[in-house]
Amino acid sequence: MANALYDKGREGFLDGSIDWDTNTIKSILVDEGADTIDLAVDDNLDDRAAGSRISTSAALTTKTVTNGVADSDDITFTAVSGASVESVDFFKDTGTESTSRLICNVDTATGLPVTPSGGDIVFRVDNGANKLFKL
Amino acid sequence: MQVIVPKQVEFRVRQEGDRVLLIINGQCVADLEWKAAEVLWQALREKTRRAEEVAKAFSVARDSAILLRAGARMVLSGSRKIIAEAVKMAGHDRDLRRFMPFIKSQESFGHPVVEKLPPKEML
Repeated sequence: MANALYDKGREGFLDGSIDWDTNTIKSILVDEGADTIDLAVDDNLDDRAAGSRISTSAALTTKTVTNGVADSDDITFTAVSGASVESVDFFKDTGTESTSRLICNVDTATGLPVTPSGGDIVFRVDNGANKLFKL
Repeated sequence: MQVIVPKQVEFRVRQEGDRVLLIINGQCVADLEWKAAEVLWQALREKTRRAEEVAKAFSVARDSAILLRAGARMVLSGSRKIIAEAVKMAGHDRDLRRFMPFIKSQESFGHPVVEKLPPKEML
């Protein structure tokens, strides 16, 4: 696959239910051996099997939306252990899994897949033109 | 009850010397010199094409919708009504959505780096 927006994430940006820089956005390290990513069907966090969620980040900080480009500070997953991680999901956290809309899945990044060893895992957002992603 | 029967129009175009005659149902309705006949022919052709576009509006809109659905930024008509219908069909027509489901998204991603740090030593 490739880095991509979930269809329902795309829909969320258009219908106004996702506001990148004001909503609480988090990311999770995903073990794709325990769940299959379906960009066309998966809509909320409850579609991601609990066993596939290796670690969940704190809320993203310093989020910006300038010119349709989604950016944030680098993301640190603290003291991660568990199965191999093949991708990273981003989602809008409402506090309820069934309404926490999945936004995008990143499976193409230098360093992926990664096998946790108890230390931190840092997701460094690209400093180029597209940052995390550009709509 | 009134029954409307379409009129049968029989027309002929005849050339006499440098003049062109238009004869409808046996009566000469226009006697034109050749330059005027050429202007009339061009006007007729233009209006005929527009009339054909109206008569085939649904097909033109549908073909335009297929182009739009395929990602081409062009339509086959200059008519605002037909263009609006084509745009509506491209987005909502059930058959087009079923058989041409993929409109490639234009979003682009940066290339992130995932870095694994060594475990922190326990004090």
